[in-house]
Amino acid sequence: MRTQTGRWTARAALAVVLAALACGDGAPIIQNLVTEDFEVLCGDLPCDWTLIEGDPAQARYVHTFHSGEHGIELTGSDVTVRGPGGTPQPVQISFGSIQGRLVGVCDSGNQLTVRIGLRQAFDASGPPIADTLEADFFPSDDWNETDDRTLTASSAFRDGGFGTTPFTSGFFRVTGVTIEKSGGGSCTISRLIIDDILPARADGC
Amino acid sequence: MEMTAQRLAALIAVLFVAGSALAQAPGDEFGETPAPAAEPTPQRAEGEPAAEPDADPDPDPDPSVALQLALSLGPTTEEQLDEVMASLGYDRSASVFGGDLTVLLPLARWLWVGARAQLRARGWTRDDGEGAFAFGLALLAEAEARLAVSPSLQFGLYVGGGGGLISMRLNEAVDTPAAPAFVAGGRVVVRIAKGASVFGRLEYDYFLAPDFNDSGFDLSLSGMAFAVGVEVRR
Repeated sequence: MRTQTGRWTARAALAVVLAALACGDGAPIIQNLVTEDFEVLCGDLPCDWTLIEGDPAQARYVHTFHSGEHGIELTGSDVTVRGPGGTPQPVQISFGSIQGRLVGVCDSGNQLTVRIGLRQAFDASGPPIADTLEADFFPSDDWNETDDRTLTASSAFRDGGFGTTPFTSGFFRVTGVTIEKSGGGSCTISRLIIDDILPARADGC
Repeated sequence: MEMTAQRLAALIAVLFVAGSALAQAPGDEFGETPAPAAEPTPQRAEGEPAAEPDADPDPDPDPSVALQLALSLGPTTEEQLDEVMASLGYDRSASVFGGDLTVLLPLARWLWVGARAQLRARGWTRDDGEGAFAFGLALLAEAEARLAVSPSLQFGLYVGGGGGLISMRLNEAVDTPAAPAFVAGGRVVVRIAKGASVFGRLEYDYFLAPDFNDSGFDLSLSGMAFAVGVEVRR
């Protein structure tokens, strides 16, 4: 009898462990789409970055607080650079799930607009979903303050947009990133991260 | 008032005399009580071979130099640089470790002065790439006061000051700013053999390059540190 009780106890404990493993710990699910560190120089700019608006003198590769830590410096107004995207990834995208984190500094009164192209990698049922998401960043002049923003779509996805469906699942990739600076001073960007962050479900499963 | 001054002068005189007597008293470096005067040796008979000289009753005669070698470990102090490193994807740098070599000379039985060469280091690891590393080398002048509480146990208090260089390696580039260095701490010394001791010490290290590269950040190897070491006196 005691042995049978012990078996049931062990089975119950195993079930609890398996349930916990299956449901996760309730933490948000973070899927990284783009991480750009601007570390490698190709010509006058970080590799795979090009100037698409402004004078060449307005964008340059610079070191930041350490000679081994680099970024891209944008000076003056109406200057835009374009950089690479990422590889296709299986993600679930919902309204507000695309988050950007920018590590950098700006002179007071300057603003950076980050746009990403997001495109479904393949979809047999029809033309791929594609859209542009953007957010305005306002970095301070202090290196130890990061700026976190939610990137929102400038137009709806093919299925009616994020607002009407809780999730759009599939293989997506960021096709490219642009950073547009406005304001008269300068900004130095050391790191840009684009994540897809899904909140944990209420039941943890 | 005049009486108070006289009493104070008398007290100082008594302390001076007592201190001089202690300083002149024989005994080992750990303050052992002096051995009683030896009995006068009997006259050696003619033709009798000379007796072996008595073994030195003082196991550690007054040393002229002390060498200390220590390994230290302590938590880092959180600086703005650490926050930036975290935002760039580096893990938290939790501890400063290092070692030092100190040479001390006695000015009195209780007061030693000398110099310390110290190495301190810390690292920032990173999951998706090469980590960063900082290490510093400093030279400090140091003074230590010792109190012997038993033949095998001493307490010491010490302070030091100097400067050095801190080198930070990040993405295969190295920056090396100058940095002042100060130290203050206490030490417990346990004698384990003639002229040899082990010690544990707790100290605060200040070793920091302020505003390095005009970045507004301090590159710090400062913090409380616990160390263990050995001391040899000759």
